[in-house]
Amino acid sequence: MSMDVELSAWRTDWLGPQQADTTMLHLDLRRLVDRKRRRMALALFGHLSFGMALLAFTGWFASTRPTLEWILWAAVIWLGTFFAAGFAIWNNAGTWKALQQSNSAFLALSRERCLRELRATRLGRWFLAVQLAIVAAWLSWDFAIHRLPIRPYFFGGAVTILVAAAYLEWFALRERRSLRDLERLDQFQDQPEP
Amino acid sequence: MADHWAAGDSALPIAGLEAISSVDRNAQYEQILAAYGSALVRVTASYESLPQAREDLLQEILLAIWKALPSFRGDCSEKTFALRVAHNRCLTHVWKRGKSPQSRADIPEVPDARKDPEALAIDARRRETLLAAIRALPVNYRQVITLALEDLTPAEIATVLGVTENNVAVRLNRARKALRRILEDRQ
Repeated sequence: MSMDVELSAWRTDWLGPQQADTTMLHLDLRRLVDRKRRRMALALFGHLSFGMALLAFTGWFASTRPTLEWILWAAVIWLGTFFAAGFAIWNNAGTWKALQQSNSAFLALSRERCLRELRATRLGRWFLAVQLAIVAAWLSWDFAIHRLPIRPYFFGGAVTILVAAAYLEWFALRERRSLRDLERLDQFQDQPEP
Repeated sequence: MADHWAAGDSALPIAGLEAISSVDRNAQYEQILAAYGSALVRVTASYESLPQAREDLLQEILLAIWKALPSFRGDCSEKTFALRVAHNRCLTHVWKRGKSPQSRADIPEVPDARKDPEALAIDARRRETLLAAIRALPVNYRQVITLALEDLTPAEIATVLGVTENNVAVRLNRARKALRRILEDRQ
């Protein structure tokens, strides 16, 4: 069988009868899109609200107790929040995965996005370490002058840090696995003839 | 059916080239769905054999097309655009779920029309065999063969995949060999 006859025969089988099974197309897509869009807007609103509330609360708290300690505390939180937000914007710039791009461009962007996420987790570890150092020094002073009861604060701090560290490691693990899967998928693109 | 491969024709088809940015998004979506819905169903079936998973994947493809529509500037045909989005979404499906090619053992045997009087049933079975064989191909072969079966020109396939036309020709040649070998094994 010649190559073109063969391809034509496959095409006939592939295309099948005109009444191909398109029942799956009768989906209430707009409702689905609206639901997803609402969910994305809510998530964005939630993140922004949390950031604003954190900034507003620390600002208000420091303004009602205008001592050096609380002003410093608010400044650290404001700086940390703006730094994290700035990093997130910079780190994600140019990695929006446009599905209408070609396959190879899409795969390259997906890989870039994984690498950026891994960079974010590396920064997250440093950020957590810096926060830990600041909080440890701060609380040590409070414990030393017996302003705070050591047990609940120590326990609460340890749990918070462990949860944050566990989340970071889980996220890094997921991204590394994702990158490995992506590279395995990409290997097929230029494999030699079997 | 125009055989672009035999003629070496790399020109884009005229139909569907008109810029559609001024048309209402929902109308565009309906238009694409009506014209290429069947092609999208077939592409989905070449990546996923389980009906429920296939339906989920199709939903994600349709959603992706709807979301990508505002950025469609008519620089390629609607068909190329729809298939490009579909294949990218399918790639993510393969990537995220670690889907490996279907086992060759799961591919039904190619039926022989002389043994079975029910021609329609045989056609359906042959289609299913072809589909299963395509699912057993590596992803890059699967992409190029399904696009060729959808009657895209080499230039259009190159646009979808983001490779050169020469690369398309090489990849398609290898994909055909691999597919032929799988189908012959089942006869």
